[in-house]
Order: sequence, then structure tokens, then C-alpha cells
Amino acid sequence: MPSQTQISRETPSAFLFLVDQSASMGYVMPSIGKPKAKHVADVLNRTILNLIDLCNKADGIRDYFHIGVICYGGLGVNNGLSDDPTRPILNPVSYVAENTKYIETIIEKVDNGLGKLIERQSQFPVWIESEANGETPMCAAFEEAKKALEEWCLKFKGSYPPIVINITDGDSTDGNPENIVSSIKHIGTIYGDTLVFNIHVSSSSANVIKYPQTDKTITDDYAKMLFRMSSKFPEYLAKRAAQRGYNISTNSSGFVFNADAADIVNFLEIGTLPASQSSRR
Amino acid sequence: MQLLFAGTIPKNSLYPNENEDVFDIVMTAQNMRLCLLDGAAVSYDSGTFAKTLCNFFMQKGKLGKTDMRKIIDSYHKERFDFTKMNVFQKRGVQRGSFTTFLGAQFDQNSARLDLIAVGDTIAVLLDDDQFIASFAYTSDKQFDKTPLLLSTRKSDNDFFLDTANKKRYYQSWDLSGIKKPILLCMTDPLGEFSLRQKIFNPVWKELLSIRNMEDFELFVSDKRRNFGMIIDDSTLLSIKLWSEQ
Repeated sequence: MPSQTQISRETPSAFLFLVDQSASMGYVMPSIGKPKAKHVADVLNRTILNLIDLCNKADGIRDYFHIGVICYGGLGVNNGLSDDPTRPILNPVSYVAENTKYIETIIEKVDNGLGKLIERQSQFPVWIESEANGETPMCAAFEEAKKALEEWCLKFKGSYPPIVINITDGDSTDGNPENIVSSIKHIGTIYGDTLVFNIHVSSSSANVIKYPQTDKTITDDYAKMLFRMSSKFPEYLAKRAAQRGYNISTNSSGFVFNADAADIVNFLEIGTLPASQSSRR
Repeated sequence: MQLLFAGTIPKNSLYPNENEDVFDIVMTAQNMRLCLLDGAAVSYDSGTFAKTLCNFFMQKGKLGKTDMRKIIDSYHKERFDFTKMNVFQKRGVQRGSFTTFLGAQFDQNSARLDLIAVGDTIAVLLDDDQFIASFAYTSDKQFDKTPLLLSTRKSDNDFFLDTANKKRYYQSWDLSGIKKPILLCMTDPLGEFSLRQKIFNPVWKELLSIRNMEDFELFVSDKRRNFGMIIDDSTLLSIKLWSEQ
């Protein structure tokens, strides 16, 4: 990756999120007292909002990023950002900003500028709602992702390669997704192949595995499969994650198993780090 | 005194209007005042904020504690109506806008050059083509860190308004012993590149040879392509502070 590769409207970056909405995502995470599906939806909405904030200028929202969300569960596989079947999965941020599901009013605690926390009413856009039912059609979700990525990479050959973040809590119920993911990892731009990161969300925080370098310490077969499905961190991303204090190197895999609530927040922050570089044009 | 060159090149030639470097210069036979600012690309409305600060300094020749508060209040009042803004616009304003600041004033009678500098927009003093000093940065390594910037959020400016920090942001150069003083002012791509070359391959002659936009465009595109100069809005001002007699 050349050091001067820049994110611009002509060469945007793409972030594609796959969200498991199967029945088990309805289980409560004891550490926060919220169902997994609700926490994932909240974190994802916040991540999308952060990406939009980075493109938000007084003269309008500049399309430095394209965002996609594929939800998979009892309702099958669907475009999380649009009900319009003709819309592509990956959409420019300006489209995403204009198409919120609704705006929620929340009370936030913020610094009053004098070191004291005060409560402030804030508006919070919602794109992804908490949903938990049915099975886990992960293969179908990755097939949909593959189509979207092939189309996008053909159009934006000069961009950073896309990043796919799969958030799940259980085994695929429509087959083994490894081959499909392997083919996704060969779709890319002139700067490299698509990166696939996987996070397995757990109701308990027991035996958490974070960004492993090998599968030697992984005993669970399902976890081993997710490990194999996950890309290693490229140098530019490993460096930025390390600068933020994460214990990540170029040998680390973009994979967390048995993640708790905080791990989910961190995982999405790391996965979208390329967006926070200062060289957007 | 003579203005040798003043020009700016956007980071992306497809969007020249999005160049957030702002500058202004006024010169008389005896005095010179200039202001150069680099609005931060990551913030919401930095170009307008930079223009507001520039206009104030060009009119008043100062930028103090009370000034900053008044400028920010009137900037918000004139620029934004929250009742007509959507959620993203409101968030943008709340996030704030940020800019560097470089103000310079020269009085030929006293031979003093007074500077105010915040962030990575720098002033370089030359004697003909020989380096004498730079302010506020003196080394290319300083550009590796995130610069402190002036902000539309009042509390973010405490570092600048604290009188204990005055020496860090204010400088006064006595030019009386310098035969041919020349002032160069530049935003960070040029500043980082120039200070990187300072010792082994002085770039000052090359910068002084720039007299029109064509020269400047050639210089910037060459350094971006062949010498790893940061691709960002790039502005250069060069002013001869002596007279031929």
C-alpha cells in the first residue's frame, strides 16, 4: 500500500457490515443488561454515524466512504440500509445520511467544558434496529456480500480494498461459508484484496480470544473456522491499531471469539480505522 | 519591501473551492501585515472560521483572549441557525471547526517582525537565501504530532489564551543586523518538506525562485511526486523585507 494512497470521492473506502440477527442474538449480555442484538445495533449505528461525521462539512456530506449492511436471520438476507430492492448494498455516506430509519432522542452525559458532567439531549440517527429470530444463513449473507464487493471493486479499482466485518453469535445454519469467504478475500483493488474480519459475540465473557496470531490456543472447531475465515491485519492497519493502544501486529488475525460488549465497540473501531486517516481529499 | 510571491494550491485539483488555506497581506512603504491559516480538513466549517480569524487580525493586528471569545460568538451567531439545521449539521457544529494561525507584522522603522503562530503553519526568516530562524516549528519532526489548533469551541482554546504559554505562540525577531531579510510563510506540506531539507539540501533558493503560479505548481507537483511531500492544501507567501538602495 503506497504511503500516499488517499481517500477521495473518486477513490472512496468501503465498509461492509454483516449482522447476524438470528434468535440467539436475543440473549441478554449480563455485563450491560441488554440483548446482544440491541447492543450490536447500537454500536453499529454509532459506527455509521462516526463515519458520516468524518465526511460532514458545512457544504454537505462528502462521499469519502461507501457503507453497506447485510442483515441475516429469520427474515433471510436483506439490505440493512434500504428497503428498495434496486438499491446496491454499498452506498455513498450521503445516501446513508439521508436514509435513516428514524431519529432517536437520547440523554447524553457530556463535559460542560469545566470538567463537570452534565446531561444533554442529543439526537441519534438509527439505521439498524435490534432484531433476533430464526436461523443463521451466513453462507447466503456472504454470497450477497461477494456480489456487492465484485461490483464495487470493479468500479473503484484505485481505492483502498474494502473491509468486511461479520458480527455473529453462532454457527452458520446454511452450510460452511469458508469457500465463499475465501473467494471474497480474492476480490480487491489495485492496492490489495478485501479484508474480512469476524467477531463472535457471547453472552458470557469467558475464554475470550482476541486477534490471535495462530489457532494453537483455539480448541473450539467453530472458532477455528472463524479464525481461518479472518484476514491478517495489513501493515497500515496494524500500525494504526497499535498507535491506539491495541495489541495488534501484522501477524494478528481480525478475529475475536466470545467477545463481550466492550470488545464489540473496540472491534468496530479497529475495523473502521482506515476512515480516520487525515488524508481525505 | 516587496511581495515576491503569494499563492495557494488545493490538495485536490478537482475541488479548488475546497481549499481551506486562507491568507491576506497588506503592505505600505514602511509596514507589512499578513495572516495565513490552514483550516483543518477533518472539521466541519474550518474554511469560514479561518477566514473570520484572518479578517479580524488583518483589521486589528492582534488576537487576544477577549478577541477570541467575541469572534467565536459572532461567528456562531452569523453562520448558524440551529432551528433550521438537520441532525448531521448540528453534530458538525457541535464537533467544532479548527484552524492553524499565523499572523505577522513588520515595522521597517523599528526593524521588528512580530509573530503569532498556532499549529503547523510556519514562518521562516532568511538572510538572502540563508536560513536564520523558523517559528513556531523549528524541526520537521514536530509535524509528526497532531498540531494544537484554534477552535470554534471556546474551551479548546485555553492552551493559547493561557498567559503562561505566551512565549510558545508569540515571537518577535529583531531584523536590524540582517542585511537582506526575507520572510517565508507556509502551510504544513511546504513547512515539513522545507525543514526536512534544511540541513542537507537547503530548499530556500528554490522557494525564492517561485514568482508565479506556474512556478509554484511545478514545484508542488514535483515535490509531491518525487520527494514525498504531503498532499494537502499548500500555500506559500514570500516577502522581501529590505529595500534596494
